Amino acid sequence: MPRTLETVAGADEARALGDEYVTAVGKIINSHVRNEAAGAAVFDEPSISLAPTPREKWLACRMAMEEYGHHLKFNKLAAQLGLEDPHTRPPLSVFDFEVRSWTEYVMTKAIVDLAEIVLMEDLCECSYLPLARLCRSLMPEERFHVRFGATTARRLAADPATREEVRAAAHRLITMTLPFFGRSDSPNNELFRRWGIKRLTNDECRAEFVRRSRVLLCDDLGLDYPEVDPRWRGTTS
Amino acid sequence: MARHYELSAPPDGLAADLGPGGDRVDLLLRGLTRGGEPSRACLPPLAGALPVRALSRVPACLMDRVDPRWLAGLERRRHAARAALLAAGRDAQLELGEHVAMLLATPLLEPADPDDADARAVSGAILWLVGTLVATALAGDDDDLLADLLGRGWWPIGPVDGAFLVAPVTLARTGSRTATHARTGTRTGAGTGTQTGPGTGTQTGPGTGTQTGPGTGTQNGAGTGTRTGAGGRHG
Repeated sequence: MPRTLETVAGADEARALGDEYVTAVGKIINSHVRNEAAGAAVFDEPSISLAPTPREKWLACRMAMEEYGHHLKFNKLAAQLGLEDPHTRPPLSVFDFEVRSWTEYVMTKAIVDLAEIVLMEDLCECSYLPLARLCRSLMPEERFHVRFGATTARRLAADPATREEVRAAAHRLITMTLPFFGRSDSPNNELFRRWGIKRLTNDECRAEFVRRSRVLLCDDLGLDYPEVDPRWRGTTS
Repeated sequence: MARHYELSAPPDGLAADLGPGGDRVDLLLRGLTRGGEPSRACLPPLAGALPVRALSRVPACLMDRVDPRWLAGLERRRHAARAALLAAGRDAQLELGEHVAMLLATPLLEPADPDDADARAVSGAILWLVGTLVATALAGDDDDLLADLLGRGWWPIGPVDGAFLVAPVTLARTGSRTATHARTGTRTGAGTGTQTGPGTGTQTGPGTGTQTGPGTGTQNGAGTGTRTGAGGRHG
């Protein structure tokens, strides 16, 4: 592995570096192909009909489109690299969270999309330039999603009728999102950092997510934070 | 089925690929992507029994006054059309129609200011309507008024306070922040009255971006079924 590796301009350069680089960057891209689609299908699309007002319904629709659009853009990168169909693997376990109410949907945007931002910020500096450029281009939309979630959560948390639902959803989602960043002892992450695909360890990403979500819950919403383990040693099956 | 990632116009042969109703979908999408200023001259005097009123901006509070019964009716039409298509084994055609529609419409309707929530809501409203009209057209639902308005650059907002409101599709890009004048139409009743025109939004041409979008309601492979999903994103 070349320690001087700075940037990789495209698929041809990636292939010239060898299978290890293509496989490594391909894992990241395929994960996004799979999970952006899962987010749109499991969280966003069903929530359009849960919106309490027309304006919120239409905002949810726009966000669903954007998430699916992200899926397609990652899919295009995957096709350029000649990666295999990523749908042969299941999506992340956080998508087992079943959205049953508008409040729960709002919290998915505030929390799960926040986790996505933490990951994408790291990928904005990725050695594979098409991926870095794509992540930078998607950040405004992801930030809007989180801001929508946080702003709406503030209003819902201020209402005694929905405050407890906000808290319960936040606690469940935070707990379910922690594995999102991968295992603490992940050999994949070590490989990603060696190739300059990522800069942060999984635990560093997780800690950043905990820090930001704690600010949201405790400082912005005036809620308590769930007890969490900043490390994750789980398996992936 | 060809896999499309970006489109600036409906692909050749789309109408035939979509089967019955495909020509109407093709017509809708060609109108939507044609761009240009919507003309008040093309506005019908009535939508159902309601006078049509053109707006140049749509404040957030107005969006929330759209008659919920009208929205619910559209939702029912959407569900009925989708169910009929699935029952007829036309799920691939429905998915293709929605996929192409969203590929074309999402960049066209991308807010110029990513922080403009009102523009995003307008954009989402139109995308939702486009998805609905694709399904209803394919299913043989022959109410073309909304598709006709959209194809001519008008966003059919819906009934509010006894009038049927429309606004330029370009509001999805400019939102209400850049509107310089709010000319709410004064048309009341049928005939050729004094309909005031829309604002002067800056319609940008179709297909210049790379944003893509989904067909709402289309299960796109992620599935909600039994998963023993991986916890970690990148391992």
